[in-house]
Amino acid sequence: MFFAWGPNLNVFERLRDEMNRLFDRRFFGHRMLPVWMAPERAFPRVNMTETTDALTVECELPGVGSDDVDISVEGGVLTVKGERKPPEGRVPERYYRRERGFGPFERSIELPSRVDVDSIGAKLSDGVLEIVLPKHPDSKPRRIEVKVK
Amino acid sequence: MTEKNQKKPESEEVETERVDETPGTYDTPAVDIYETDDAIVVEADVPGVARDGVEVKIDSGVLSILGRATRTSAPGVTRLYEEFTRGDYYRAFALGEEVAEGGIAATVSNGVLTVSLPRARDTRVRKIEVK
Repeated sequence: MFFAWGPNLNVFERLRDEMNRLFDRRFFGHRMLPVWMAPERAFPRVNMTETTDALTVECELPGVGSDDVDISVEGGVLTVKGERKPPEGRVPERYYRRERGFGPFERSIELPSRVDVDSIGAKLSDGVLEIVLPKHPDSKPRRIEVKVK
Repeated sequence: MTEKNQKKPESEEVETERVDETPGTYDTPAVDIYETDDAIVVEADVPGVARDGVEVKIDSGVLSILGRATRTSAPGVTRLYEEFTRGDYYRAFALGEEVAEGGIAATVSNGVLTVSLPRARDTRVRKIEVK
């Protein structure tokens, strides 16, 4: 499942790409992060939340085992990649409907804060991968105590 | 396979609720439907749904699957970017006559719900040995 950016000759697809680019750029006033693939074609879909201490990225990865996913962070970019394999031992004779894709996937997300790479934790449960990225101390708000003399 | 979520055949269910009147908003899960030699199998992507959040029902020839996602809501969390909702899933299918009445099995693993519906005896593929 490799999707490449490139000029689109189809008028409707160009319009859709244009709309996607609007969403990629802080269009609605709240922070939207640039992702490298058009949202509805990207796998896994992700959510990102934050607290004062950490960023959390959730990825929808149904049918993917923990051995089949690889997480890395470099230069402020989180990359989730791996492979979704069909279940073993199953031999379909004929398909009536086929909506789910299998195969390798890769997605990179730019992180809005600096994180402490050594203390990143990840948990995969019920097909949802939750990655917790504690913020680097420089990224956390710091309260400055005012001393009164 | 580790977990099994056996559902009773419809004759033992007392509910009179019709399958297509489930209240609430649901996401439609992506499914693969295929047949093997002796069964029709439905595989649905329901990430976030654990075994106890699944309801599989057959009513008047309609198979319905409902998956309730386990909620994770914590206070003090700011949402930055959202592509999926951690919502519930629902989808229904009309079954043809090839499905046998009993013996339907459902399992959930890694956010994938698999429902296996045995084919009625005379619709199963029988391989004939050529002597």
